[in-house]
Amino acid sequence: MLKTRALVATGALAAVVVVLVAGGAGGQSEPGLPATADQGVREQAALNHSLKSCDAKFGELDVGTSFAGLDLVHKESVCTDPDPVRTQAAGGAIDPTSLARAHWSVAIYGTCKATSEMGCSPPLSIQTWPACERSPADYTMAGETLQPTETLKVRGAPARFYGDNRLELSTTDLTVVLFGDSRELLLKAAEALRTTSDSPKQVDPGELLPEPVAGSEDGMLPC
Amino acid sequence: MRYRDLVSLKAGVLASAAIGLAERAPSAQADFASSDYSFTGGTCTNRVDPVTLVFIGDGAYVGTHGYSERVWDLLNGMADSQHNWRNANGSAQYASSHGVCTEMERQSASGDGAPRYHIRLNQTHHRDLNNHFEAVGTPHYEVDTFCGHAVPPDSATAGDGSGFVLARGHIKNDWLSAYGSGKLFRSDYWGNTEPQQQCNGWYAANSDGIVYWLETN
Repeated sequence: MLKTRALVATGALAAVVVVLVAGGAGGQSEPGLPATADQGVREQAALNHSLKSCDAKFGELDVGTSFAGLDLVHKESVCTDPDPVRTQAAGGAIDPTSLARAHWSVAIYGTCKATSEMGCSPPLSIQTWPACERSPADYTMAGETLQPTETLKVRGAPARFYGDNRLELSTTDLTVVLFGDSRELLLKAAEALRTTSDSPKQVDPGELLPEPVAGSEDGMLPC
Repeated sequence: MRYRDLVSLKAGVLASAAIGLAERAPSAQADFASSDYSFTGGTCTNRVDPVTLVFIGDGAYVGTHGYSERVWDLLNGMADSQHNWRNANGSAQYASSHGVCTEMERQSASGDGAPRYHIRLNQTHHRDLNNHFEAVGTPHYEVDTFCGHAVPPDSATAGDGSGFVLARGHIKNDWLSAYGSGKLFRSDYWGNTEPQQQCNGWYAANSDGIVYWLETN
């Protein structure tokens, strides 16, 4: 995930230390006051140069206008601001995990039957993230690294299953996250991935995917 | 040493693979395990809402679901200037923990009708190795549409995040206001960012993949 380590890479460590020290000093000492990020913290986060600009172009992968009988029904891009928070686990300082944000594009294939109060998972969704903002090294559960259930290679690219409904690939400076109904569908979709026409690098279905750039799998890639 | 490394060392190391279903079981140390979504039925296969809150603590009422009941009471005890948190009735959903798929036990909401904040709770199957109870929640902000309640996407909230992100933050803020600023235990990054189709055609996601842990003690 980004910020702390990427700031190291960009030489802005001093600013982070200031934030962390300030957080440690004041994070839990004021009973009754919400421990949400104060304005100064938000401003500091805004100064974090490790985030890729929401306007910046990055590659995007999908499986075309239809796939396995599923039509492309929706595309969108989402880019939000981080919402840093202080936590006990971080000693009252800004929790590095909370510096993640949404920065992805998605292609959704097929529909499902949603009703009032009951949404549903589309048969296949393909999200593309900048690897500097989402990498396998970033995931935590209960404060510890969340390991994939299986690691494999797909078209030469390192890939990971997290259960049977989520498959991720690392290629170039991207993390591709596929959600779907089954392991079989996800593997089949991964074989059919292609870059969209406006992506910086072009890859066709079935071709070997470019290797991930250094740092894109261990969370050390600066934006 | 990078700050990230320090955090990793402090947290302890190691993780184990997920077990069963779509469940995540990261830690032999903590022995916490939960699905990262709720489900429509008792087989825990059709995903509905992302889990974005975990409640952790030592105290629980007597009974099988004594901890989720306590969390439910605490949720209903929250107050803000605009909402009166209370017991809620909503359709049943399911969640899995330690390989067991069960109906979520309790629901709480900021009002009887939409728009409202609404959360379902599921107590994990057993205490973690630190003897803590945990209950997971699937908070969402829902509005009335032609087809009933739906969770708005990021694009429909004027930059405030999807209804899932909005509700996670709102409950966190109400919780800290009610029970103390130090009650935000940790932030996790589960990456459960799958867009969920809503009945009116919206797609809403836990866009940033973050899960907050709130303390009940």
